[in-house]
Amino acid sequence: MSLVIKNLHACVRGGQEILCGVDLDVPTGEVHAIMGPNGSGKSTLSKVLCGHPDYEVTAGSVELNGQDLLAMPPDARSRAGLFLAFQYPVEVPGVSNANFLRAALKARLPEGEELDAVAYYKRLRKVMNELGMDPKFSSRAVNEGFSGGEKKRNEVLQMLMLEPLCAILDETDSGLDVDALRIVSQGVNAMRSSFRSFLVITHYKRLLDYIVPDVVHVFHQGRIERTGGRDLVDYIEEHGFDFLKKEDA
Amino acid sequence: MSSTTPAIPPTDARGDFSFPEKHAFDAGYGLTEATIDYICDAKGEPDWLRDFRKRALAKFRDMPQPLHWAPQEIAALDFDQIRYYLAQGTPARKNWDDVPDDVKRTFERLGVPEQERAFLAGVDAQYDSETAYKNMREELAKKGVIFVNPTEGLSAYESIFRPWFGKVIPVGDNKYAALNHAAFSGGSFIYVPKGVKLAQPLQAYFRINSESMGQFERTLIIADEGAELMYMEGCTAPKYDTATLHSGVVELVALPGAKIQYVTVQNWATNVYNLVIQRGLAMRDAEIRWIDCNIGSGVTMKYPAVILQGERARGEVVSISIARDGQLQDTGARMIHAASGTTSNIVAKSISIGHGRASYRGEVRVQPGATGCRNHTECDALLLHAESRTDTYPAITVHGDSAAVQHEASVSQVDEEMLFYMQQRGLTRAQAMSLAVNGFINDLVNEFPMEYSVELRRLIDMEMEDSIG
Amino acid sequence: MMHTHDTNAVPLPDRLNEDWRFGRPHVHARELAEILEHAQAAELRGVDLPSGVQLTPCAAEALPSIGSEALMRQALQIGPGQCLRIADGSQLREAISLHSEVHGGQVQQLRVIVGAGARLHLIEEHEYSEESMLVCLRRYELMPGATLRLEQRELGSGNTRAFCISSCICAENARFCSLSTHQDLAWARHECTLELTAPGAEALLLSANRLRSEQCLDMRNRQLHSSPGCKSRLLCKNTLTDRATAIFGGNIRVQPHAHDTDAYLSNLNLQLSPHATVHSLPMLEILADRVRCSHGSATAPVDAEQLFYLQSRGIPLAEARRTLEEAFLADVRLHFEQF
Repeated sequence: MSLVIKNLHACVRGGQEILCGVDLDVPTGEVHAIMGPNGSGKSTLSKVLCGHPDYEVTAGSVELNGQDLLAMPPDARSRAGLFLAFQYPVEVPGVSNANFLRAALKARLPEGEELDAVAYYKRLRKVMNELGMDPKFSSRAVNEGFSGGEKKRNEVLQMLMLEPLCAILDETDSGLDVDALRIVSQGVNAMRSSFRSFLVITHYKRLLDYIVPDVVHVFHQGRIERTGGRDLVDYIEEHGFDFLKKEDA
Repeated sequence: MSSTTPAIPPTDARGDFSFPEKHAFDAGYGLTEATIDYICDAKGEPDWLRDFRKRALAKFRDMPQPLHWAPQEIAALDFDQIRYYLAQGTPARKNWDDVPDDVKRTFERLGVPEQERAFLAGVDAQYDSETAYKNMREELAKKGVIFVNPTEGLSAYESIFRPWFGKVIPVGDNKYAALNHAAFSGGSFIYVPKGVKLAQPLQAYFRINSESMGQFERTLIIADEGAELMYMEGCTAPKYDTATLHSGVVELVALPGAKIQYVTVQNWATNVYNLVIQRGLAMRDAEIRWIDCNIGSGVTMKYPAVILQGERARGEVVSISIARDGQLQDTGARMIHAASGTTSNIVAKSISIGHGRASYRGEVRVQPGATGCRNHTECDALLLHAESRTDTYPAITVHGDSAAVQHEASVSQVDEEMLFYMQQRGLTRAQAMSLAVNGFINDLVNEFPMEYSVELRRLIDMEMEDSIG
Repeated sequence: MMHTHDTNAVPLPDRLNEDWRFGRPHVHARELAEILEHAQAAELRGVDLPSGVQLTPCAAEALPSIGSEALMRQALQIGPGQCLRIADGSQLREAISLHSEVHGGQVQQLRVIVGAGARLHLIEEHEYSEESMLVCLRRYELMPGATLRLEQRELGSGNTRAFCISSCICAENARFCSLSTHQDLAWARHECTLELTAPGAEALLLSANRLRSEQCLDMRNRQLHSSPGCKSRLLCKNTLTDRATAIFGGNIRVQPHAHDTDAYLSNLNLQLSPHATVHSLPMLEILADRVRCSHGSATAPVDAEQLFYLQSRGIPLAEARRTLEEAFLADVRLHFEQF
């Protein structure tokens, strides 16, 4: 049971290839980090996995617990257990956070079954409280007028509510101050379990001090260039990504 | 070029002089079949053109003035009081020294030849109906660039000229299109061959010297695949007691990948009706930009258009209008998105001074089946006095669910706090106002070639001196 | 400007009438004239009118229209109208409902007078039976300091049509807010002239409409500022599916000397079908300086990023689109409630 990516190639629709043969296996229960310089294609990988319409998969396969993700539309991928905490969460004016999450949860129920509204709100308040979010946020429109940190916190709230099998955190640490980073990390760590996997995409070591990965991958020029343990994080922190260039040469 | 030479006459005063008429050809007042025969005979035109003009005349007579939407001021135009053809009767001179003295003095006062010598790739100056002087650097001619008047265009280059002539703006398009098709003389025909990119702009001057003269120049510019050019025109006329009419037609054809920029700075005298039709056809990946500045004339109606005919074609209109006492600047833009992936942009700024009235009139249309089109339109108006007027009349039509079309317009005045701040620093109110007004159009003025933008700013300074100082 | 047909005694709006631009007057005006020949006067029923409120018959009176003067004059000749009068100073807590059912071809005339300092929330509801058509002439007069919150609901069914000409005149410090919605009308033309006649008057015109199948909604609005120091806002939002058409004409007119005007109009359309059509004509005519006037018009499909975001949370595509459609219109109601 795991997220298995084999030889994944993808390009901007009608444009340049950005993923050039990604191979990655994230077994359940593990946290993998992907690090890499700007423009290496890290964020594209997360979008392609979720089925963003701007990108076209030209080769390869992606399976989540044996299900062929690439054959599914984005919403089915989500219901299959994949979650992306967006690097730039989208503002959705006119739709309140509470209604948004309710619609997402309801979509996971069998046809015709209704969500227990009382239990839902109770749980929502509890999780918001854990994340240190003002209860008023639930009635505000999704991400509209939120600060960068508030948006990131909102992403984590959604993750906690939707309980995915595999969660991708795309630069979730950017825009967060230290306190927020700690709260968000606590939320993620509380979700770590033997039946869930995480893919943490980040540019910096900082987040990985809080969410400690089992495996670290270095992404470069559209593929995974190197894989190692936690010590790879420290190596990059010290030496940067320059070693990748030397390999090029 | 010498920095003291203005590119355009800064005020009416500069263009407001005239020389005694001594035309070899004068078709008299009014437009009839006989007038057309007179023009055709004088120009030695082929029979197809004579028939063409006469059919256009019939259309012109049939069509009503578009008073259901146009400014009511055009109802006062008396087409029988216009002289439709005046010419010196000598072919256009290639050498400045050969130009008749009075015409030469006119253009010297307007600063044409200096610029040509110093800077411009080619100049075509029109005096009343016909081209008085033109020159084009030899190197351009060697590259196969054609820059002639339409009479010469249709006789010497018929195979290039005729397929596009009247195709972008057909004769029945509207009353004034028909009028121009019937009476046109002078103007420019330009062809830039495949892949030729002109580094220097081509330039034309139009001047009405004679009273009651109608000027009906006709310009057709064809940029072949991948070609690029910029064309600039300036217009002036002396002030007469009776109204004069300028009703030009400009057709642009940008073949795949071509780029055309067309710059107009219009400073006609305030009794000129300036009713001009400008339209470009942009094929696949081509780009057409109209950069338009209207300062003079009594009534101007001008809405430069781009028909985005080929995929990914781009269109842009940048427009500045200044309406002073007694002036109506009814200007705008049209963008017709007829192919997928086409984009367009309209930026229009107007300034109304005293009793002046500036109107923006526009059309943006996304045709059925054209997908992924984008338009952004922004109109800003500045009102300087209590009696000043501004209007905005856009019409937006969008078919289908893949286009993003956005229109914004605002009306404002110069911020009193800002004026006070500047005055406190020692500027006169007029100077402060001038700075503020210049600031308002600053981003657009930068779109104009340098010598035009310098002149535009000077004009605004003088205008502020007059109206406030 | 009116142009006359030689063949018909009634001068109908034609293609050259700019107020009917894109509105296919040659199709609709003639039909309208025919319906008016056989139309009946319709009566409004007031439900439990409180004290201080009178609904009485009243004589017809001309009112400003946008391009349909002749049709309106003809409609005025059919039957008497009604007048709803709210006494000066009445503060009505509960909304008043005026309800009517439309059968066949009907003409309705209503005059609403809100007395000085009075406050009223009025709901007008027209329920259309199949194949019916209503011609509705309404005039709202707000005396100094009056407040009127007005909901106009046109509830069509199938092939029904509505032609409504409204005018609203606001005196000093009067406050007017209207929310009009059109549901399931095959064709509706809505003309509304708002005139702010004395300083301090303020108005908010709102409309939210979901258009589907072959429906056509043709809205024309005029915000006429004839006095200095007034404020008007207009927001018209439409969503379009199938082969629907939305036409919006709006005009902010600031008369000479109406300085310190603050006016805004906005027309926003969400296109949900490759076969739907939007025509938008947002206009300004400003004849005085020291004003703040602006307008905006935007037509766009559903935001792809928003759609993806909803989908990425497991919401199916069709529902995600519906959610965004509803969200698009949601704030209009909110503005009304906040007024």
